[in-house]
Amino acid sequence: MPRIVPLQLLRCLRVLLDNNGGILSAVEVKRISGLMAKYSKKLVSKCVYVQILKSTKTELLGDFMAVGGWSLVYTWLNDAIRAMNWPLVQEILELLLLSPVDVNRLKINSAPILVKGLCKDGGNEGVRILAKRLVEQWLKIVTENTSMTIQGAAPHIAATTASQVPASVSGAGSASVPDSASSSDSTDSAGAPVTYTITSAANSSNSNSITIKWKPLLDNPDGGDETDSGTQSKDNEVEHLEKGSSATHLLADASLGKKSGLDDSSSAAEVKSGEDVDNKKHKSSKSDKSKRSEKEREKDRKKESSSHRSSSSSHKSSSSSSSSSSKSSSSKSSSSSSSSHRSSSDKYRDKDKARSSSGSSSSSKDRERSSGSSSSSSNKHKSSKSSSSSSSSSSSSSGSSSSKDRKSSSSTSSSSSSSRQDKDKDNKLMPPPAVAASNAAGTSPTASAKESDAQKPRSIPIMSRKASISIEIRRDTEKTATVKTYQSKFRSHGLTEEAPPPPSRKGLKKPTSSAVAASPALMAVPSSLKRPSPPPRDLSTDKKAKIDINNVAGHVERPGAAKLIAPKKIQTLVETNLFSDALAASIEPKKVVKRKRTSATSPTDKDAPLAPLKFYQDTLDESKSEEKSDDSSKENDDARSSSPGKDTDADDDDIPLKRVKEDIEQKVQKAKAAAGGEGGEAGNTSDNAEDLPEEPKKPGPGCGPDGPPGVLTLHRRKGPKKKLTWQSEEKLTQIRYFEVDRSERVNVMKQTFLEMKNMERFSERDALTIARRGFDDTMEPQMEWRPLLEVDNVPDHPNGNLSKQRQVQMDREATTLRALYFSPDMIPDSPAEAELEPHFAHDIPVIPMDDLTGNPDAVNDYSALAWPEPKKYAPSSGVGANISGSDMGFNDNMLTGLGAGPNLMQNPFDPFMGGMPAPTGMPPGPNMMPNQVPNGTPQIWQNQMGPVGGPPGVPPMMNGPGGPGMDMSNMNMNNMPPQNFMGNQFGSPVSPFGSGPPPGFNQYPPMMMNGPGPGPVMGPNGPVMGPNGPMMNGPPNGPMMNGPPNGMGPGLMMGGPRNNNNNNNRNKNNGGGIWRSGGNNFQENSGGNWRSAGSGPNRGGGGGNGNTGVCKQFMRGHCNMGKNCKYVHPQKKRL
Amino acid sequence: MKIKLIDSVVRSFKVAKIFRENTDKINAIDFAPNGEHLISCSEDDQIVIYDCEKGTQSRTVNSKKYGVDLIHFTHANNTAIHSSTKVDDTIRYLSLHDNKYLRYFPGHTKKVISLCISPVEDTFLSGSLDKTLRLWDLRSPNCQGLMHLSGRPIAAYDPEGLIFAAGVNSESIKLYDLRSFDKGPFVTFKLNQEKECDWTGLKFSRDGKTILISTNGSVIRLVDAFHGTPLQTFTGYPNNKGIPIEASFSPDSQFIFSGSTDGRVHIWNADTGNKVSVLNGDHPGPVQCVQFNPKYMMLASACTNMAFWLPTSEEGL
Repeated sequence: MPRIVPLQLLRCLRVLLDNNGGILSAVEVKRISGLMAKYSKKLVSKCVYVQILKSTKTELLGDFMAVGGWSLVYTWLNDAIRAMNWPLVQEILELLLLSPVDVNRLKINSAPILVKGLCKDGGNEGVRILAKRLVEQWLKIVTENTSMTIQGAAPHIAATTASQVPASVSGAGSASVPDSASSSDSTDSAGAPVTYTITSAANSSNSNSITIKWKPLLDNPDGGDETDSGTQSKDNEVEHLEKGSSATHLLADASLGKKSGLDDSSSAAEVKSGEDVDNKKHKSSKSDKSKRSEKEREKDRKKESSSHRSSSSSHKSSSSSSSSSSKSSSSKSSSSSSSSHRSSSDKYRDKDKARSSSGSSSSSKDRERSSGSSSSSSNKHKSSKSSSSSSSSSSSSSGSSSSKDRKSSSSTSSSSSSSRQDKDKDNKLMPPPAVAASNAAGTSPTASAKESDAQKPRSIPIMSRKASISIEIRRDTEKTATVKTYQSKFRSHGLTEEAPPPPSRKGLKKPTSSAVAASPALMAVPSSLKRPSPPPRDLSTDKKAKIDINNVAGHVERPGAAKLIAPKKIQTLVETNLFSDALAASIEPKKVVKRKRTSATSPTDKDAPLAPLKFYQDTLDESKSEEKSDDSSKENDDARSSSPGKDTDADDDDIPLKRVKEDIEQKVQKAKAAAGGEGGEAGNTSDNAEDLPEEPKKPGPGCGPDGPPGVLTLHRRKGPKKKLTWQSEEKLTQIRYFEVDRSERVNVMKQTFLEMKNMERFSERDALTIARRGFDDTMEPQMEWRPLLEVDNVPDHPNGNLSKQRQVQMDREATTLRALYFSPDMIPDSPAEAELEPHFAHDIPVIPMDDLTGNPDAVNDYSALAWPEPKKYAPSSGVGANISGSDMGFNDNMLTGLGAGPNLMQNPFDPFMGGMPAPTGMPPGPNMMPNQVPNGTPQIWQNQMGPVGGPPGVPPMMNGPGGPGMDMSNMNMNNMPPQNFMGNQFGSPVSPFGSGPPPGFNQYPPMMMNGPGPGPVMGPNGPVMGPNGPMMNGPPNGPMMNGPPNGMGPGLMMGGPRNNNNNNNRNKNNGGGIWRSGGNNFQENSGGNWRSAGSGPNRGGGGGNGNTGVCKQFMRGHCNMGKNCKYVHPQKKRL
Repeated sequence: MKIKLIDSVVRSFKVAKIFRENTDKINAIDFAPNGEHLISCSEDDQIVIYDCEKGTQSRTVNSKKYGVDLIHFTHANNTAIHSSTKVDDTIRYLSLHDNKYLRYFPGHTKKVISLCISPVEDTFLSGSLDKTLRLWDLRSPNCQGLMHLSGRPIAAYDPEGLIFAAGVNSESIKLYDLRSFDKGPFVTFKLNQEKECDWTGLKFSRDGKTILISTNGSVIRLVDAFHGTPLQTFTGYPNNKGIPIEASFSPDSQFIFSGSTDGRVHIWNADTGNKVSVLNGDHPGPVQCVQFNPKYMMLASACTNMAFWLPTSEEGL
């Protein structure tokens, strides 16, 4: 395509456009939107199209947006922002301001978000200003819709509007109508040339105002506009009621708003929350600066004072009502908004510039204001304006009753005084709007930020709610101003009829303005106090300036005011009564609101007539109270620093508290009653919020670590050292109980704890030894493997002849392979698991413990009978023929074995002899007898001695050496043992020859035979002898061992050889002979021992022999020493 | 060619074979009724089977999951039952042919300390520290009979398989008829209660005339099987660790063999009560298991090592 020429494009579109350059009619809207969508890629096309749309009528523009224009304009805006084409963005924003918008349209795309972003990030100042205005406009629309849905006052509003319409119609037809028409015409003519020559925000704002005013003139015959304005005013009143309500009510409203599901409102809230964060950051930085140095603190205070001034001016704007006011407000708002980002000095410069710029276009009054260039002069103007505005508001709000009060309260009750007051009001109303409007725009962000800060602990939606409410306040004031001006100019009757509603609005707003007015004075006082030298000069200059201003204003305003007062008085007195009665009857809650307002304004009424000096004194009192509050806050800070809490925590706590206090003060200044209450509640909520975070912190530093309980306890101390200790005994102890039946045997071994402990210790030691050194395995085969021999006399074993599993297993093995493992590594750790079988739980037959048949022979009780005593070594069986050679060997063995006997025999006598005096042999004899009797079983002893006779037996024992005949009787008693003894002798020589064993084996049997041999011989007498019984084995062999070496008496020597000879002879002959010879040995040997016991040297020799004898423990079978044993083990000798 | 067991023959036994198959104590051994095989189980969870004819080890399987104790041959070829030392106290029926468990017998809740097989049919008795004595059939995992008693329960079958004896609280022996055990014991022998030890085993002699009582002390008792008359007391072997040392009869019922903690085998004459001999095989540890082959002239003793003894004398001809 060739380059597009704007003029040619316009010629092509001329058919669709009207004379003004806008869309011709509704019919062409679709065609034009289609064309624009298709051919809007070029910048030239976009510019032409935007201008066409801006020239289009509002209704047609709405149709265009509905057809698809809204999306198209959004894409244009998005592209322009990306391209950083700020002039184009500005044009599009102007177009959006002209286009009608509703909530549904705002939801379609994210245009609101883009515009919101431009408020801060716009590359051009003009763009930012337009964006802010656009955001305000859209927020108003959104909030109106939400309020409409929430409130149910629609029928009341309709009724009130209906009543108003006929009154206005009846009152029409006055000379004021042509005046308004002429004024509107003049404004149009003035606006047109400005738009053509200069393209700036001011011009655009002028065009906006012109179009707004033009609409009501055109629509007056229909009456629809009037109804709309009425509804808007009613909504505003309802909103005021909301403001007065408590915080909880606001919360409820917020929740209702959420329920409505407005996406745009939620998105707006998010954006605002972001802004709040930025504001917080700025404030935190400011607080840091103030701490650093005093100079910075002064600067911060100046900024705060400037912000307060701006807020006061914003409230003043509510009273303004003129076309010029809009111009000045727009210009100054831009200057104030820009200055908010710069230093205080820059602010003053910008203000001067703004004034100069506004001066060029503003009326003569604005010029007079600009004459005052100094900051002090500006402050003076503001203070005077605030006082005048408060007085005017008080007069209007009180109505007839208030006017009466004034008359009585004032010193002079003449009409001249009242007329003077009225004149002052009229004069003062004119100047304030310019300054107020400019400041209002500047204060909007700070006001919203402050309110949001106060509400931080609650929730973000509430913050956004509050922010939106603040914006509504300013818009309401502007609209009310417009309405008042319009109606007042057009019809005097209409103004008189609508008098009641305006007073309520003024009452709400002006008290806040008066509070704000006080704040700058309060702020000024502390600064003056801190500076010792400058304060008096500043104060003196302020006072002089104020006095001059008051005088000048009075002189100038008096004549104009007189002219206007008379008609208003007459009209208000007549009609206000009727209207107020109607309002009271229809709406009750409004009454409550009014009462509050009157109470709030009453102190101002009193102050107004008072002298100016008293007014200043009141301000001084307030400043003192603030100082006290500051001191208390400082004390709190000191307490926190001294507290054991962390320093960082203290710092964090201080900042929010300061902010909260500042917010509270601001609220109090704005609205005494409602604001005060809200502030208190905010303080309470803030306190609660502070408590919550502190609670979790408190347990942290002072308490132990969290988590599961452990075995150890950490004792925290100041310093590097830490202490770890075991948990208390209770926590480390676990107790378990075991049930034991009473009949159950416990600790059968009867071992004490120590014994068990030692046993455990020894076994553990042995285990360790084995683990280290390994088994002391000395096992070795002692012979070669031979074919097995069967044992005789073995009964047949059934060998499971009734078993059925045998067959089952055989069948199973026939069908299952054998598990073969060719190496140990291949063997699995466990056999394969068995197949699961159904294990049904059934009642198991119980086997009773007792006989159920009741058979008396079922129990054989041997519990009273003791277990039989264990027997000794058993003699071998079998008897063999005697051989001379074997006799020789046997005799030698017997001599050796029997030799040990006498030693054992002598050992027990030694302790007896040692224990008793041994002067003679006879005394031991009687001692032995009583020992024998108690040691043995009397019955057994008597039985054994029965044949001979008890009494005769005893004497022979005492007279042993002299009774040979009695000896023979003893021999008879021992018949059986001797036979066994002799049998053993004959048995051993036969076995070696029969089996042909080696010589070593030949010795084994003889040793076994000799070992237990003596025992049986003395068996019957064992019990009688008691512990000495076993030792008596020695006597038979005593003389043989002792005879030759000792050289005993000839009697013994004679006995010895005889016995031996007898044994030899009888052995050859028969067993009987052997038995007799054995008896002889016993008798003589025992006698010999008794005799030898008398001699000392013999006894010593016997003891020595005993030490090298056979091991006693081994004989009993208890010896554990094994090879280490010092005594002889007969078995080993056999081996 | 059969040889009679006499004192001289018993004294002539010597170690002919030593097996070091296990690394821990052997806790049970059992001869097959035909005397051709010996099975042993150890605390190292191994089951070893020996060929008595050849004097060699013929097979080894593991049961490391459940542990093995009180192993006994059953009447089928290559099958055995044993108690468990791990997981639970279930008795298990094992096929040595294919190394697979055939059946489990759950019921006991504590260690099984007594296990014996009927010499005639497929039933067996088990006693446990949970103070119950149970009668089982190899063909069913369900318990056939349950007896509650106090103390350590021990039991034994008589050689004809018609009667079983139960030892109660180390002080009485009750005899039951297997065909009518639901009527209670047909005779009860009340004996003098042991003061120093517990009864740990009961055994009938092959001729069915006497009952041998093993303990965890240093004493063994012999009681008449028909009247309960105390007959003999055998002592002289050390048991300073309180282990349940097993005492066994010779197949001709003449001699009683027992292990000890001194590594030797002690032998007594059952009729006279006299101690016949002490065989020293130099076992490195306590000898807990000693059994005589039910058919051949062969003795087996076990500590950690297994020893086979043969006689060196043939005077019994």
